[in-house]
Amino acid sequence: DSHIQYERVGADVTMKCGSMDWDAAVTWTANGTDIDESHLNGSYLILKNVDLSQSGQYSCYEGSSWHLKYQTNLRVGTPPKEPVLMCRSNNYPKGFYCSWHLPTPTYIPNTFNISVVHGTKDMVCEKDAVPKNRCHIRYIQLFSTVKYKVTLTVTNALGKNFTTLTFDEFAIVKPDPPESVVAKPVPNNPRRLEVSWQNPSSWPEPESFPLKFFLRYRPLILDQWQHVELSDGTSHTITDAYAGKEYIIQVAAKDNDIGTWSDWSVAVHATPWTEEPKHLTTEAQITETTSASTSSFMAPPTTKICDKGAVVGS
Amino acid sequence: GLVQSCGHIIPESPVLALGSNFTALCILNESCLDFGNIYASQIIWKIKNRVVPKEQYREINRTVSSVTFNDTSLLATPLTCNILADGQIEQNIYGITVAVGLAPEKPKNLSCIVHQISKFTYDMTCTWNPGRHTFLDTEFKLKYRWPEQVFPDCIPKGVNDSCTISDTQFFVNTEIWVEAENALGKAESDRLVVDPVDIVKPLSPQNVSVSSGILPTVLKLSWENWISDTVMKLKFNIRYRITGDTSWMEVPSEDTASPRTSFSVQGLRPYTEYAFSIRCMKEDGVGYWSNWSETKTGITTED
Amino acid sequence: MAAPDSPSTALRRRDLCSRGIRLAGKMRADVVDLLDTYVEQQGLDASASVAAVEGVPLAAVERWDEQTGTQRLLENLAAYRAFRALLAQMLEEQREQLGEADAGLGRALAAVLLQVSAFAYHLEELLRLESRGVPSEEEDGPPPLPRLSLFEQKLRGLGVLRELAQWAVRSARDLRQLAKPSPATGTGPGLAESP
Repeated sequence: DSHIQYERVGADVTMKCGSMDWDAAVTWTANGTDIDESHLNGSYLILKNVDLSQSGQYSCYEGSSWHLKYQTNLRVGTPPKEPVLMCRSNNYPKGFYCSWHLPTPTYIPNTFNISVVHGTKDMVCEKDAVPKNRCHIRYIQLFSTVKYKVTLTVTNALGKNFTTLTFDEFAIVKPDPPESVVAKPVPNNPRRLEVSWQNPSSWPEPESFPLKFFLRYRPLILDQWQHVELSDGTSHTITDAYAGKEYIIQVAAKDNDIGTWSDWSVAVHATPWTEEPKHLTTEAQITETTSASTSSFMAPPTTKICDKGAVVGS
Repeated sequence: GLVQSCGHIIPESPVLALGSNFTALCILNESCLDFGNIYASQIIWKIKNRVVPKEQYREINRTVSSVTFNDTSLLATPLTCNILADGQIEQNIYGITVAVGLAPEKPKNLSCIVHQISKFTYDMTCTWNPGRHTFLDTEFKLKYRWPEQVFPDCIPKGVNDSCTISDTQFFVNTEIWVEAENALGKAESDRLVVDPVDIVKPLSPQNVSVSSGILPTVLKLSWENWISDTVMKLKFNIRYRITGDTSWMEVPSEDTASPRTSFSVQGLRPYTEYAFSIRCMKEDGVGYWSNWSETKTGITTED
Repeated sequence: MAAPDSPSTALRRRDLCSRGIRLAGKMRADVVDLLDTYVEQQGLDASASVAAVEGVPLAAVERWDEQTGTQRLLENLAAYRAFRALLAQMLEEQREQLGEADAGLGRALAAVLLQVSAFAYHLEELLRLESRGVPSEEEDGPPPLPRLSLFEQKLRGLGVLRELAQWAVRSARDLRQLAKPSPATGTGPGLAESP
């Protein structure tokens, strides 16, 4: 009778050869390979301080007839540690999801059981097909000050553990990052970049549940970011970009009233508009270009002369 | 003495409109008539010890004499009723104070501004033109209300042309007006209906710092905005000059027209010290500019 | 089906809604700050769960998205009138307990009370805009509050401020729903049938 036998890492394991007597002549194999006599005590197989590598199929054959007398699948593993549980609402106010993982693998199958209680009411957590360690809860009530209590229990053949999360409805609201972030230079504006983005598609009702945004940008030549918080609209014009320098730009989102900021969006790069270098080829073009350039002198756009007489960079 | 409480004047301590006419009556007590042998015809009216011309007197009867003034601007305090008793000694029968002035005019040019005092404190100061001098004790009250909530009046202290209301409430249309009142009348200003959030003068940007970077023509300004974005979003003006210069240059306002806490000023001269100052106001331009911030300096790097 | 708005009504509603939303946002920020101060000053545990306190309107609501505009306004108005009474009582108790010892907390409570009054006024104006009768205070007025022990008063205060913070969020959402132009007429939704 082949069955699965679970043992903890470091345990000492003794296997009997089915109904054979202690002094019967037997042969043990592990995954088809004979096991050295030193591991036998009579017809018992003794495995000391087992480790993961000793998982496998163990068979015991009667000495002369090679009849299979006993077979087992040894699975060496560990009992589950306290699972890591995270609950988050990225599609508020539809609902929230909880996902979990074990801090360290157990090497043996585990079963997870999750219970979600809101006040005194049990709520259904609909499991996702993929990924398996996740389930969704639909908000039945909104704007509640009653806390949610989520208990995740993990069980395997070697033990059991659980973790509990207690939180407020509004505390776990964290949108996904903004999507379709685009940054473009602004023609004739050497210090501007136009950035636009979209609400995360997972956010169901941006009109009733508007998001606000946090934009960060820096030239690649610098480490320090500049930030600006924007509470409406999904675009912004950077007006103090370094002329000619490539910029990296990211956006984050947050519900306007509650919750926490999303992760940063995918980074986009852009370089402000720069004037085309002038190629002097023919005499005619030279005279034409020279007359054009003198009339096109323009004070640096960031300079507005307040009082007469003050001239910068002339 | 003989003439003690021998009579009285009515009206008692009147308040009179400047330029109007006024008549007072001095009424002698019957008891004094018999005892002192005095009659209304012997009454002498005085203003501050100056005898009133007899033409203004009129003997109403044995015990009552009146005096009339066609223009109260000639009046002063006290107005006394005196009698020339036997032995030609003038005795004072009674005296009254007379206040002469004007009814308050309608207070004009009411305007209010909400000063941000600290991160969370906003006081609304309203000022108005109190109108002509009334020469009388005139009480001014700044009144404000929502349709269903009247608030305690704001009573000016030591002045009559401004008052400050603390703990201003935003996002509600507030009706504000001034009431002036004295003994001669009451007047009300026009009503100002405003949402206080639209008349805010925010605190100037705080903790301004200037940092130079890799590029020799750029200095980066950073600061803190001390007004919560639940109250308003801000726009900015940034001005700068080479240290020692007298005139300021300004970053084009369209470049600083949205909320921010930093700005990279470009097009500067390498290896030069610049002074910067920033001010802010409500992003939609409704309200007042803050004061300019404290000036801070920074030096661009060498080229 | 309610008659579509006149342009001025729609404009007035949008103005009231937008300022109401801003007021709700500020109120929430101030109440959250006040909650921190209150918990500390009253020696309470910030994470303590407070059972539903009698007389404190619960912000929690089911099928919120199915409510009509009128329901939203009436429920909000009833709540903010109740909060007005509750906060006034808290202010009174505060003065009795601490006198002027803690003017800061008293002032913060008074400021929030003022905001609650302001918001109630906004709601009444919105109801009037829709020529909806504004329920009289008696109809809507909260039941008289039972006298509680000192500790019970503190817990009730915590419950009041927590619910008010949630109501401020709900109210902002409600007003956003009201401010949404109705698909049919492009003007404000006839309150009766607004989603």
